[in-house]
Amino acid sequence: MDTSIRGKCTEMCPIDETKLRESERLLHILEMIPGTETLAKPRADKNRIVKMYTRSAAGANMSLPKNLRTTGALTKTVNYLLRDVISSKVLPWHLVYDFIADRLLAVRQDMLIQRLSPSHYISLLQPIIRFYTYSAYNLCEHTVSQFDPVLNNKHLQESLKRLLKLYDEIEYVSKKCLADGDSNKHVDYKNLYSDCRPFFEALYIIFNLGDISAIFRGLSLEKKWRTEVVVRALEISMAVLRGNWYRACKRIRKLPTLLAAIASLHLPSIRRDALTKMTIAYSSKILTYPISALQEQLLYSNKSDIIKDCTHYNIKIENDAIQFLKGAATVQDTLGPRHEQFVSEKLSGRSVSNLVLDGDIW
Amino acid sequence: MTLMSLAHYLQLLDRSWRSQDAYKIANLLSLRHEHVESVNLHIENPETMVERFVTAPIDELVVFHLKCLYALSQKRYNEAYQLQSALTQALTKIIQSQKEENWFLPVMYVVCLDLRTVAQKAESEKVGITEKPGEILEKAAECLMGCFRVCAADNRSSEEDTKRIGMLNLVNQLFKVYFRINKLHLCKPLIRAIESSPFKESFSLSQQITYRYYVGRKAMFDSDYKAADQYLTYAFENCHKSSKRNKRLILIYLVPVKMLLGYIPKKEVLEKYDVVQFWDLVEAVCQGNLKLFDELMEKHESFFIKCGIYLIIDKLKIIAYRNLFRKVYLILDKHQIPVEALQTALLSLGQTDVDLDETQCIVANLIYEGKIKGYISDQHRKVVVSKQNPFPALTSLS
Repeated sequence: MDTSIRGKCTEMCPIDETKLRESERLLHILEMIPGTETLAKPRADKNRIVKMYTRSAAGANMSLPKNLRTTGALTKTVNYLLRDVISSKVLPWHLVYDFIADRLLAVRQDMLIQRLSPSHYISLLQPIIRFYTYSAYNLCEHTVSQFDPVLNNKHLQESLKRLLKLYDEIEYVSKKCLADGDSNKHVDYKNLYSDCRPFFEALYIIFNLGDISAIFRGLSLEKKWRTEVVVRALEISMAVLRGNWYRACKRIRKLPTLLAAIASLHLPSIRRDALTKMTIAYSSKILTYPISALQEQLLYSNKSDIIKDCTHYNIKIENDAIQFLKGAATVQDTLGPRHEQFVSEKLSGRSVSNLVLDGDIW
Repeated sequence: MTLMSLAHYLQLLDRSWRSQDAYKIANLLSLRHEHVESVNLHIENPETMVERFVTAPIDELVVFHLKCLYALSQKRYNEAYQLQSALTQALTKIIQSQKEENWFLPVMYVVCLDLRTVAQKAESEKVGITEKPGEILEKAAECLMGCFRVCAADNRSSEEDTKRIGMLNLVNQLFKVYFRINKLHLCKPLIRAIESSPFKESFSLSQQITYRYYVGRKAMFDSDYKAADQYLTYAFENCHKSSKRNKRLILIYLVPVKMLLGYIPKKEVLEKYDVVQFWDLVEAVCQGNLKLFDELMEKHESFFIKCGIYLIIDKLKIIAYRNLFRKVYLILDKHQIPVEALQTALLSLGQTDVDLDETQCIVANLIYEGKIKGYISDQHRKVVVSKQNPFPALTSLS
């Protein structure tokens, strides 16, 4: 039955690549033996060098078993990147991100070429997705030259969709096993992913907030997968769809860490929507709306952030009160996301590698 | 016909081919026609017999068809699907080679219809554990696309002979597959092809109705309710009155769309087409009875989700809010409505987790959408509504 290619490389980086990159001086600083960085030819640290991502090009054989890593080596690589490298203090974090993101892409490529079994695929993909999620938030204030959110979102979306598809497949198979009386295999599959699945189902909904097909997927899930976190995610997404920013924000505040982080990236558009509607609904030359109330409602970290936003949308503020006036606000581009106090509070004291490798505890 | 002999069947086919009787050929290649009952035709290896009686190129079609009948009689559905798929591909080649003629289209319709139904059957009877859900239907769609391309590319023939007239039938088959496997985005290029076709109005009425039913559903899914209303209304009005089942299917989507646009369906209509479940919903929305509304959402949840109307029904809640607030306004008979009064109304109807701020948020949305004319005063916690027509009729809003 199994005709797919199996990797033979048991290291994080194939030997050929190590030699080549060492001689061509293509080592990343995080891969060099400490102390040799300043040499004309820095030396590769066997324990730290990781296979780079390369595009499949004409003539290049991507599927040589000696250049493909075994499942064990892939697991080791993901663990090394997300446990050790992720907390590296040698470089600014966005450069650490670049390194990890590139090496994870190579991991995903190895997984794809070898067509790993769903169970291995899932166990490797889950931490990778958490990494993209964490990075999307953590680097959201960086300039595009330092961090490309579009590219990161693309990775996140692709991996997440792949993961959900695997869940579906495995569920389908496990039902078949159950129907065939092969209950051992069924239990096997069930244990493997059932703990984490609701989180990722919720992540898909929150990441695609207000998206109808994402909501439909959530709604169509079997009852057993619609746990509290999925129900909350659905509620938020549907509140956004209905324009109920108040409820959406109230629920977002209570989400577990990574979900709150990814949800906060949608806040600029939620706030914009709210401010646009309030400009019409609260329009008055005399009456005002207290800043503090809106700051609370729309999850602003502080007063200066809300003032910044209002100024951007041409909404007048005087003495801590907002004056909404129909027609005064002009349509502007939605502002970029920023770090939010309520997310930072959830993140503080957490080890990033634990969060990414083991996920949220709730 | 149940005892029709193979020779007789093959002779009939050959004669129909020579006289270009497409409808007869279509029947003889159909999986729904009565000849399929004849055990004499369930043959594993019909090649030699077929060769003796039937001329090329349709001999190939007949061989696949008979093999498919045999596979079906053995309940080997995946194999049957593979054979029907091969039959469709062979047919695609034939119609491609028939330049400037389209008499063979009725055969294509039948073969493609059967391909879809066999694929559905194979999909549901799938036994292997390595296959992915929806895979067979996806492959079947690719096969149908092959036919579609041949038809769409036939732009040299004259109007009477063009195969482009066959496009809509295939598009409808493809819609059925795409809706089933939840790949609605694939409908877009098909819709574009039909909308830009010069034969847009010449397709048969039944095909137009099916087409508009699916395009209407797609528009609804894309939140384009005006367009959805247009398409579904056409489908409903033109669907033959004896096709009650189809009319009912159309209504399932048309009723919520109409309601969202402010129209209230008549109870008789709902009763007539056996969608009386909607009547409670109509009442809940009209009365602003949010409690009943929530209960109905829960009660019919799986039905609404299955039909893909859950979110549009959920949107009706906004109209229920509007109607409830209008009632409060009528009772108080004032132009300054305390937000508290609105919240009390919400509370009394089971919306226990809604506070004053959220009430204002709901009102703000209604004002923004033009469903209430007025403004909110946060300082006084009051909604000040317009002296003239504070709750304009929903149908007057664009």
